[in-house]
Amino acid sequence: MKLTITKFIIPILFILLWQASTAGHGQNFQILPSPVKVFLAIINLFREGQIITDILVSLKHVLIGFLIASPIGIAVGIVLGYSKTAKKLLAPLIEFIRPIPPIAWIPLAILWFGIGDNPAYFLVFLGAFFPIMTNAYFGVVSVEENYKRAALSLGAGKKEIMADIILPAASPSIFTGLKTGLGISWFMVITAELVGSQSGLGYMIQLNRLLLHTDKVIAGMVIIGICGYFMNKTMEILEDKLLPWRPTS
Amino acid sequence: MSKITFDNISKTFINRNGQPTRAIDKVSLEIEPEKITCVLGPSGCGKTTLINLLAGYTFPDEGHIFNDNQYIKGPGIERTVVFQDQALFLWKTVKENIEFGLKCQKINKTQREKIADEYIEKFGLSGFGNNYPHQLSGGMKQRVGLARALATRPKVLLMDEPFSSLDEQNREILQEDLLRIYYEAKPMIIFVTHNIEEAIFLAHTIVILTKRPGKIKSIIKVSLPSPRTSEIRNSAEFFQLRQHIWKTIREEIK
Repeated sequence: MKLTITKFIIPILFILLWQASTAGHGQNFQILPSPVKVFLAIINLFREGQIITDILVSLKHVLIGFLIASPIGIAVGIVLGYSKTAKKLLAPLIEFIRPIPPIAWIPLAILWFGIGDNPAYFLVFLGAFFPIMTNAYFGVVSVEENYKRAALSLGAGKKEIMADIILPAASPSIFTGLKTGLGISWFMVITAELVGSQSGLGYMIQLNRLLLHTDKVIAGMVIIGICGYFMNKTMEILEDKLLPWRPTS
Repeated sequence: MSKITFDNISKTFINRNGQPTRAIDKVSLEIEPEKITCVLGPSGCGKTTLINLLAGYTFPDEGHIFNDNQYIKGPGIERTVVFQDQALFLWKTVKENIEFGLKCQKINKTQREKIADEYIEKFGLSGFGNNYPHQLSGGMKQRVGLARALATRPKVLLMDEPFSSLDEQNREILQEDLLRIYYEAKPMIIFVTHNIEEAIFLAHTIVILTKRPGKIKSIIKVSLPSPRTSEIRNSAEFFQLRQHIWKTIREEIK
C-alpha cells in the first residue's frame, strides 16, 4: 500500500507545479495550457470521435510495419549468427546502413512512397528492423556450446540443433529485440505522420499546432504516451506467457 | 559390446598468446566393456580433454581412439555425456529433457512419454516432470541430467565430474543411484573425478593421470565386492586403497 502511494508522489507534484506555472496569465494558454485545459481537451477529443480514428490509424501503421520487420529481422539475424558465409557476405552492407538514423530516410520515403500510409510503413519497418535483427544475431551467437554438445551426444541432427536448441536458447534475446523494435516503431510512426501523412496521431498534433490549439497538441502527446505504455505492457505479458521457463521474470 | 582403445594419443592446445600447451601426452589405454572406469588426477591434468576426445567434440593430434575398432569421428548417440553443469535445456521441462534423445531417434510420442515416465520414477523425480530446470535443486538437476543421458540406453556413458558441485549427502546418494542403474543396463562408464573416495566407490578400474601434460601414472584394479553398498565406504579395504591412491596423487601435486 505504501509503495503505491510512493509511486504517485512525483507525478502529482509535477501536475501541481504545471498548474501553478499557468495560473494568472490566462492569455498565454497557447504557449502552455494548464493541465485542466489539457484534460478537458482530451475529453473533447473523444467526444468529437476523430481521435479514435487517429489512434487506430497510428496503431495500424505501427503494427503493419512492425509485423513486416519482425520475421525478416529475426530471420536475417539468425542466418547471420548461424552461417559464417552469410555473415561475411551481408555484414558489411548491414553495418553501413545501420548507423544511418531512420529519420534520415524520411525524404527518400516521401519521394518513393508519396504522402499517406506507405512512407509510415516503410519508416516503421526501418526503425524496427535493426534492433530486432541485431538482438536475434546476438541471441544465436551467444548460445552456450555445452547445450549444442549435449544435444549432439543425444543424437541431435542439424534440424534438432536449430529447432530445439538454438531457437529457444536465443528466444529471450529475440524477445528483447522485439520489445526494443516496437518502442522504436512507435517513435517512428509519430515522426512519419508529422511529415508524410494525412492521418494518425502525429498528423493530428501537427495539424493542431498549425491551428494554435496547444491544448490539443499536449492532449495528443499524452495519448501517444499512454498508447506506448500499453503496447510495452502487452509485450511484457506476452513474454511471460511465451517464455515461462526463464528464472524469475 | 563396446570396447574403447586409446592408441598413443596426444593433444596440444594453443592458448591465447599463441603458446602451445600439451594437455595429453602419449596415452595408451584399453577400457573394458560393461565396466566402470574412473579417471583420477590433479586439476588441469587433461581429464576433461579425455572426455571431449571420447565424445568426439575434439580430436587427437597424434594417435587414434577406437570404439569397437572404429575411429571416433564425432559425437554419437552410443556415447552420451553427462556434464558437470548438467547443460539441461532450460526451455524444456524435466520430461521434455529426458525425452530429447528419444525424440532425436524418431521414437513416437507415446513410446517416448512412457520411457520418460519410467526414468522420472527411477530417479525420484515423480511430480516434477512438468517443472522447468530453474525450479529444481542442484541434486535434482543432476538426476535429470543422468536420466536424460540414460534414457536412450547408450553403450557408453561419459561423465565429466558430474557430482562435484553437489553437497556430500547428495553426492553419495547419486553415486548409489548411478550404480543401481548401472547394474540394470551395464553400460561402459568412463567417469572423470578428482574425488578419491568417489572413484573407489564406483570404479572397477581407476586410471590415475600425472599433472600436465597428462600421462598415465598408474592403473589400479578395485576388487571391492559387487553390488556395492554404502557400507563399503567404511571397510578396511576401502580405507587402505584410499591411502595408497592419496600417496600416488600427492607426488603429482607437490
